[in-house]
Amino acid sequence: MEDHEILAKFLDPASRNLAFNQLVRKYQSKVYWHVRKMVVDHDDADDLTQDVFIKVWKHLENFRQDAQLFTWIYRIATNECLSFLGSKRRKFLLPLTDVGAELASKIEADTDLAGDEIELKLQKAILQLPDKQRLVFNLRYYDEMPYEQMAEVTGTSVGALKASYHHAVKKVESYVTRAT
Amino acid sequence: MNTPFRLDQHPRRPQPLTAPPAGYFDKLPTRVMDRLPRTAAEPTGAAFGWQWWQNLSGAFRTSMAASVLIISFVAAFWLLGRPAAPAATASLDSVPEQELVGYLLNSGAAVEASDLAVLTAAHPALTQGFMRPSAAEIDAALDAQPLEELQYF
Repeated sequence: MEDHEILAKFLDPASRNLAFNQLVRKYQSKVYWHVRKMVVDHDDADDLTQDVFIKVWKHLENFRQDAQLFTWIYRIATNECLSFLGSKRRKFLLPLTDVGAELASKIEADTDLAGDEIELKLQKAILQLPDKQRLVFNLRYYDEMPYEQMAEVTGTSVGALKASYHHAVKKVESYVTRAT
Repeated sequence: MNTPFRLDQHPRRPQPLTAPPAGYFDKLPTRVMDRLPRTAAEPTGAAFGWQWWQNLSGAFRTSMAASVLIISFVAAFWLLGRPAAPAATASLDSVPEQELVGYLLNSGAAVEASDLAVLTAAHPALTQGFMRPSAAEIDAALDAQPLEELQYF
């Protein structure tokens, strides 16, 4: 079902639940993986993914459609992730590196990465990036999102995003090179 | 010296972490729907009954409420506080007899038999004060009246 069809059905109270169910089914995988790459832990990603869709439900009626529905949902998911990581640091008074270390320990426990040393180092290198730069890296490298869409999601200019991604790649390559 | 790592030469894994439990994405929509605010997702009977009211604009709701209030006041006034209309005969009772006679003589109003019938119906005891002449007395009174020829035309 196309986004405009989902939105039209959502605005009709009689078909609102059905339309929202369709929306969740359409975007749940993308939202989950976007969140999961940021918070690493499945349970945290599960909670945050649900929170994202609850927020989408609350605000979808006021969605102005001057942006794509997909990028709007991504923006909500991004804000949820950054808030979650920020509150985690504030709660435990942890510096950036400690949160990175915590996430890295979860990466090391990931069974899918066992035996793939380079991939494990790559994932640990990505976790060394500041949250916002890691977000930019994920959107570009994994989701292959165009810079224009990334600008809508992050509220940052295309030029700044390109520079941020370029620096992120250099940092990651440097980290993996040093670790091997 | 380590071989420099080049990201663009590394095979990209779209989902680098362990996949979620089997069936996770089948159940997630139901779990999300269960967490939606109940009043918004499934209106209760009472809420549904007032849904039409909530759908109206604020200004329209205010005007409707004001109209209902005014109609209530009018109905209450009409049903409870309406003053009884005084009977026509009762109001005439308060007029002095001389004025009544003067009015009837000068205004040209004609008193008909139906007027008298209404009057006696309202005041059954009224006729008790009337003269009760005999037929001979009536004939004598009529004979005493001047008879002019013009009255026959």
